[in-house]
Amino acid sequence: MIVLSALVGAAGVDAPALDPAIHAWARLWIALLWIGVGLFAALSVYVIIGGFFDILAMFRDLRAAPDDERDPG
Amino acid sequence: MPLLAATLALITPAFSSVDAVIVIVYLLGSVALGLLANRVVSGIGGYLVAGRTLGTALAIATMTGSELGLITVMYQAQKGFTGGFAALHIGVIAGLVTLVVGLTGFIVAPLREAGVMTIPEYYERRFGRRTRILGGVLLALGGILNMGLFLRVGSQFVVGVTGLDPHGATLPLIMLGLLTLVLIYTVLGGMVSVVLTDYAQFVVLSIGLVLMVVLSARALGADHLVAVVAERRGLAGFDPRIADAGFGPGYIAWMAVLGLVSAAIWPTAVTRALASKSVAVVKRQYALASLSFMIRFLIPCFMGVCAFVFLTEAPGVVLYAQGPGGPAPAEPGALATHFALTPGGPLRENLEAFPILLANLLPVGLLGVVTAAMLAAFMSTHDSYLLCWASVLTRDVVDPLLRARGRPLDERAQIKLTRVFIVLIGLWVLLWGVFYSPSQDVWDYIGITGAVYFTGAIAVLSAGLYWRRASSTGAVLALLAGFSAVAGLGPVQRLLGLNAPSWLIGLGTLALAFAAMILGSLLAPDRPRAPLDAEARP
Repeated sequence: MIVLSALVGAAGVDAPALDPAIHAWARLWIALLWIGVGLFAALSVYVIIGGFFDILAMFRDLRAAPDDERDPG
Repeated sequence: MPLLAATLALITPAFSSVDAVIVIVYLLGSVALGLLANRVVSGIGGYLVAGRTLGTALAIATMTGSELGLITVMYQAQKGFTGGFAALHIGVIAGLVTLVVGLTGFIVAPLREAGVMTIPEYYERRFGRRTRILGGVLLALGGILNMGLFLRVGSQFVVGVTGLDPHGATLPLIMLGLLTLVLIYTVLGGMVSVVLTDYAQFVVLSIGLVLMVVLSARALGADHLVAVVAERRGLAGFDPRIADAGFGPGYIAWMAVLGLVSAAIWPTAVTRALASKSVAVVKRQYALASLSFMIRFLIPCFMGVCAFVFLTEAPGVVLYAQGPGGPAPAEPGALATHFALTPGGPLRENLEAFPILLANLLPVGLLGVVTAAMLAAFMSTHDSYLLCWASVLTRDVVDPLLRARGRPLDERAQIKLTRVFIVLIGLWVLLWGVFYSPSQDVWDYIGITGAVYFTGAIAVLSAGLYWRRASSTGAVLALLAGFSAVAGLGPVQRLLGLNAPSWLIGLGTLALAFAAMILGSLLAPDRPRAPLDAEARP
């Protein structure tokens, strides 16, 4: 919660004329958006690299299946 | 806002031949990748759940690929367009609920432990064959209705981003082309093909999404976006508890239900859990994928807000709100549901606001990459949905019916029938997209059509997995009660003379389904089930 508060504080919505309630909500949404985008970018790197090795393993497993079961259609 | 001043003079999509080449190369590459899978598919297990060989990273990629569709991006952009920043609550709730599912393994872990391939298969083990068949029929009905607008909305994106004329035969032809591409590789490769293309689509999609949000925020400016939404919408554009923006406490509660359903009940997501290597992988997959479940709503909603601000300030663009006598120029604060590019010009649906924003904001080349990413999202959702509903019809409706007559389908016949259903559902979606005109926000349409299946399914699955006294009579009654959610559809409401918001119908149906499950189980308990279990195992 402390981290979120700090990020909300740094969300950078600079509109002093706004209603304080609007200002607070706006800062929250913008902060959550950037937190989400940052975490998603990190997750994407993990998935792209890890997924590649998972594909290799999946093909290895599927090729190990008995030949007479392959190409069922 | 120098960029606004520079770019808003003309709202003319700038889709170039470079962008077109990028998109075409990507689409053909996806199909080739899907066809590659046909070489390694073996048996029905390989075709439907990829032989249960998915590791965590690949499972997240394919889950995100199927659940973050172009339809998702479009309808959430529509929500951001009509609801402002307040619509971002949908993503936050979805992410939190999915995280809880990942941490607890609620529903998905015991389902994976049960070793079933589809949810209705579990119904049969727990409640008997008639529950499986009824559950399969309702699941396929709700699911196929649910994807009815996918093709149309995807084509509207293509029209909006390329600047093609949205009238005449353009839309149906785009629908036909996109559908044909998806059908080719889904029919041939099954789940392995879906997983491979989902991975490729995740790579393009994740890069496209991050680029899109960063560039839009830089071009329009966070302060400016906030100021314009505050001026036009007031506090209702930020606080989702205020009903004026179309949200409110009831809507928020409904979003929590939809968040749970998307993660733990919706078959296209649960299929990934069932295809994972182990229960531990399932839990890790959901905990990490909660980020994707949040982002898939958060970024598109934000893009919808950007599109609203962009069009509100564009010279010559007039926003319209739906009035009693049809669309009328919107007052500040009103929800703009349509817009015209020039005063007196033809109305455009607000779904097209987002692609028009992209086409005006992104430079040549990048527009092609982002469009390819969006079409990637379109294809990855379509292939998963087609495979899922077709496999339910084959394994959970036709096969149990034939088994009851002593003529079960062998594996080859099951795969062939699944392929036939994939093509038939594809054709149905094409016809529905051409002839059905939605009278509510697409997200609300999707929520309520999904509720036809999932309101009953939540009751049946949670009671079946966690309540020993749950009975087959209760399960059948709960599934039937869930079907009453169809009353939330616009045309059905008009037919019945109702005017209830979709969230109210959805929550009411959910309560009804749970009541039916509990009362049915208490009043008509099952006999000891050991023989049923043994008989039901496929």
